[in-house]
Amino acid sequence: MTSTVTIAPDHVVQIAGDVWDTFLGMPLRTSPAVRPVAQDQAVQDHAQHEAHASVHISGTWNGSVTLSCSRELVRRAAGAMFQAHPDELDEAEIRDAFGELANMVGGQVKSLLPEPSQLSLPAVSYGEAHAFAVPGAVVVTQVEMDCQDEWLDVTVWRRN
Amino acid sequence: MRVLIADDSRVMRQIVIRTLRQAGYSGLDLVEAVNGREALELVHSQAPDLVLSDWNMPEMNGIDLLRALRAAGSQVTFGFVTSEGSPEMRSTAEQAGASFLIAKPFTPEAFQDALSPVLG
Repeated sequence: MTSTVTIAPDHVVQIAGDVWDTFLGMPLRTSPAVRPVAQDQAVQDHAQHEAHASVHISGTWNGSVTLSCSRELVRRAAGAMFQAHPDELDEAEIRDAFGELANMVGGQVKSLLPEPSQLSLPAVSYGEAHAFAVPGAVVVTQVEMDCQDEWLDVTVWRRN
Repeated sequence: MRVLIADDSRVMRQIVIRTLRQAGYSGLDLVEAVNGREALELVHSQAPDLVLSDWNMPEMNGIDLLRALRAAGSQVTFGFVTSEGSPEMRSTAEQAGASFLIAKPFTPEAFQDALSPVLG
């Protein structure tokens, strides 16, 4: 049974912003606004997104943290982390960087939750207009952000 | 000074190395491991002066690495560089024999604060 904990959208914005500022030097903006998503929206249509990176939290609190954005933002973020032009990076390096971003955001979200719990290794998926869902989970917080005119969503899912 | 960096993420190993340099630690002999099991072998074969380890890694995670080192009698200086910095994890790390825990995302100043007591 997952304990009931509120994760404020502002916390998620601050966590993601710290990661982006510190390691990417690419400021995030909340755009159009921070907006919580209805609790019963268990499946989210990510058709407009092309890349997802997620980590899972299990223990006293169970759920997932997902980053969703365009492939272009993933490439730019990876370039910033490797301090290289994105075209110089191979797919494994780009996935590695994107997964590590999810790991850092997820790890910081986990620090807001009751312990003990475990953080999984990150998983990354790409695809055109594919839906991403965490079966059996509900969206507790979602924030939409903008980075260099590219989309970034951070979603926190909770399993009951 | 030989430093072993254990992290399954290549980009994170690069960022740790870059941050060490930015924190003023140059001329280090750097050794890299992609998981705790490889790091355990490299501690025995390369005898580093310091281990900087991620917590979550495949094969063997960071806390199991530290416990295996201490069980084998190694007293190498050990610090975590990890995405999680909760009080419980810090306590677990300290009890297992870690000298510090640096939470990601980190700055050169965070490295200086953690490393100056052990590297000078």
